[in-house]
Amino acid sequence: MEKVLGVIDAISEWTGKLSSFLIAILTLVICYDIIVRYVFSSPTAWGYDVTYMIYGVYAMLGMAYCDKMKGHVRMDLIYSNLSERGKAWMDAICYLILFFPALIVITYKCGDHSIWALLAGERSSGSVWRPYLGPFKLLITFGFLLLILQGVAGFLRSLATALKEGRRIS
Amino acid sequence: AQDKVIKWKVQGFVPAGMLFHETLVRTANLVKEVTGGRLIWEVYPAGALVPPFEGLKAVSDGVYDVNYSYTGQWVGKIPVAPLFTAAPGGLNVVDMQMWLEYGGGKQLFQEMYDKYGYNVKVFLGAPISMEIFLWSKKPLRTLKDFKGLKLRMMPVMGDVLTKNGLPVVFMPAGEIIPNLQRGVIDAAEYSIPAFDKSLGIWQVCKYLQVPGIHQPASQTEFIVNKKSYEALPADLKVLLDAAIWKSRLEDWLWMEAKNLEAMDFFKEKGITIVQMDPETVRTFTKWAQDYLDERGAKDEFFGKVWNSQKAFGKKWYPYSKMFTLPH
Amino acid sequence: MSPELTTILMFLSLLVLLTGFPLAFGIASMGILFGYLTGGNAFLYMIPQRVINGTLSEYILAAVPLFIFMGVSISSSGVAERSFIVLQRWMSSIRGGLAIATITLAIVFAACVGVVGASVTAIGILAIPAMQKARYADSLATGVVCAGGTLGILIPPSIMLILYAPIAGVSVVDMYAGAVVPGLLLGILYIVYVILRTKFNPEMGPSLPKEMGLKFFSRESLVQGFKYLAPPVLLVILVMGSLFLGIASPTEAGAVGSVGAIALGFIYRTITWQSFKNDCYLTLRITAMIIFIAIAASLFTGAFLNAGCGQVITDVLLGLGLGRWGIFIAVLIIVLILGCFIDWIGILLIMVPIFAPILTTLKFDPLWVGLVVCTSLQVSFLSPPFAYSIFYAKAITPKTPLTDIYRGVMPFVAIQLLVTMLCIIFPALCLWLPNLLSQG
Ligand code: NA
Ligand code: NA
Repeated sequence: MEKVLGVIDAISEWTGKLSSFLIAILTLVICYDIIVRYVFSSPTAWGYDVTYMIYGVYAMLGMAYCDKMKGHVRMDLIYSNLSERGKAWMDAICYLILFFPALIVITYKCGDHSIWALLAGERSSGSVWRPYLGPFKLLITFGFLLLILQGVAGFLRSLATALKEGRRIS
Repeated sequence: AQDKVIKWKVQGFVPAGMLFHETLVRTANLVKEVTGGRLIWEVYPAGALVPPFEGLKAVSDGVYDVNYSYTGQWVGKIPVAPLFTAAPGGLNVVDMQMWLEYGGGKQLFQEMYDKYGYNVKVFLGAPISMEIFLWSKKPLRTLKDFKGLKLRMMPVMGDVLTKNGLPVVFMPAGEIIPNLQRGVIDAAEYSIPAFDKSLGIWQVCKYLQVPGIHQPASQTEFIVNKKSYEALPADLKVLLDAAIWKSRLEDWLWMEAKNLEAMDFFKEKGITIVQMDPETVRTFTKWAQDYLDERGAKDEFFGKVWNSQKAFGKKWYPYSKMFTLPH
Repeated sequence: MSPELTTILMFLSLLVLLTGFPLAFGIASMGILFGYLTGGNAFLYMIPQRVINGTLSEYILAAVPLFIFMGVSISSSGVAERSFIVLQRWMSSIRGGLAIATITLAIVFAACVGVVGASVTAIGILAIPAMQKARYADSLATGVVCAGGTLGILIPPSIMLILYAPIAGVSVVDMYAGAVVPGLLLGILYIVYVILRTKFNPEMGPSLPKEMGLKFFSRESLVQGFKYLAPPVLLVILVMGSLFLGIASPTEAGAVGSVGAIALGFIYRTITWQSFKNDCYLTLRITAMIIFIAIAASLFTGAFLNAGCGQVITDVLLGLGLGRWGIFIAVLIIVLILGCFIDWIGILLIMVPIFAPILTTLKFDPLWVGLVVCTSLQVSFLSPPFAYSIFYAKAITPKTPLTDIYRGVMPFVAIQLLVTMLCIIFPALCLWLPNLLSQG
């Protein structure tokens, strides 16, 4: 099982690290857009769409990574006073009640919607560029899938810690 | 089942303080009145249930029952949709009503939603006459005033201008006024006078350009989820239709009166109304029509709608000109 | 389930946050649960609409990662730390000097960004480590960052004012002008509070030992000041300049700032491939955390509105049979209570459309009402349990117990309530600047 968990961690970590560079790309894209608009008075048709698409994909592909790095904020009023095993029990139960059901519903519905967008040839509706939205939406769904995968790892780990007497699994 | 009250959720396309929210509330009141309280529209402002540009898909999916909007919002989902709000360089508000009722427009409208697989039934709401073309910080009379201008314009006119060497900027509606104020853009298409008055765009732009080539009319629509509609008893279907018809005429004229007020208000505030050079207006109109011809040649259904409007115009324009006095 | 019961149960459901499970998941789960119970399958179709087409396609939210990237880059170049040291040495005789500098920075930053996620995190990244190093009390350090950062959404540019204006049918231009004075007043009172608090509790914001102080008018002071303060000042000028000269929109200004921050790294030769990578990783982690909270809040708010809970609250409001001022105060109290449970967008979309016309018929000036409401909404970012600013601060300094942060922000909440009251008693605080500008 250790091995499987390690693979999941690695997937989260590497998708996160790779997509983290999108912020630098977003910065450059916006600066380019500003320059051609302000200096050359010839704004790009794609500036608006590319900006929110990079932002959306970037944020979503970081979800699993953030979870792996324990970056999602917790309200620790009670939690911080629990023992390691207490925390593990709490987490394992919460994964079952507060994580998997919601995340599976969100992912399923987003996936369903993305496939519709792809098949219907849905395009962006504001700017004159009007790119296809299907691929963008599928990438977002992919981000949710990665998060669920990381959640599986988190759940198994919590469960192992909770069940193991005295010893912690790393 | 006679006394069972049916409740429908209805979302509009503007925030609650705006004119088109008031028309929605007025329609909802009419529906209640005409049906004797048997059909109730619970009104939600834009974005309360789903983002405004998603109303079509949401109603089709059954997230809620009715969406009040204009078809320009569906341009990403159905390329021809904006022509049912207005075609740039096309039909005026009265022309549009005639085309919809007696030029085959209404049938094409429903055909469009069916063809693209949306599970909705369309009802026509109030139209309103031409929009203001642009708000700007300097007067825009002739084509050369547009060169190098940082301009915000929505589809389809945005496509027309871009294609003819006047690239447009796109930004969220809410950021337009602050960006005009700070000079990120020089001019922007906004809306009808009554709408523009309340949001204060006149505080940052001293010039407004007419005529609104990009949007000679604005037709609104109510799209109803087909399942919700079919579930209505037969008499309620008739009453619903009657209520919406009443609101269509009442709200149209009511908004025109508001527009009149707003234009007086702008004059009072020292806004200069720039009547654009006729040659430039002709050029923009020609660009728009050529663009629509081109799109129509590539996309069959697009062509069907545009040609239907053109054909009706050919019959209608000479007649309406002949029977109008030169005031 | 009746809307009344749903309203109460949804508020209570936020108790699941006490489990200590990541709160974004908890809030999303409760949103979906109640959405499904009250709206059935139809609600499930709303999920992709609010998640993908709403939050994740929101152009204005792109400012969040951009400004965080800027903050992270400045921080890792060491510029922030050194400039805070200079400031601290200048103000060595003043207790709480760093906290005062942080609030000042927050006010300036608020004029550059329009979303809280960007301002609280960027300022937190810069200032919290500096204050912790100077052995400030965690409660004061985080309180200052939360309260100061929240000004980002009141002082223009502001997504909140942009959203409020059309909902209440008032001018965005007037809202922008009107929010300046309440925003600055809040900032000034935060500083006054820090001065008083550290006077009575010196250990909360210790001053430097005398020998480390730096006389303001001295050669060393000028050299140090120029060397370490010029770069951040230039950066602020760059960002604000690009905004006020109409070169960049508020979202784009974040990109301008990030380029500037990276340029500083090159000038100071502190940037390395490794440090750049780490900045990217950290930016992503914080962004993901913020955006998931936004997604969760949107689902929760969507379920709340879809179930007709907004109407329940109005009915209660109008059923009280209060007078003109009674209704006004009741509206504010409802805004404050809702602020503890749902996000401010939900409050704007549902409450404002209901009460704005009522208050206008009662002859209250709609612009003034808007500014009072937006000022009071500052509280919603700090009022537990659902408090955006606190969550963001907690993410930056994970080791600080949430209780400390809650304790730290309470005095600032009191100041926010005070300023809201001042705006009610002296409408000129809100209306003076818009009136002045509209005459000019
Ligand atoms: Na701001
Ligand atoms: Na709150």
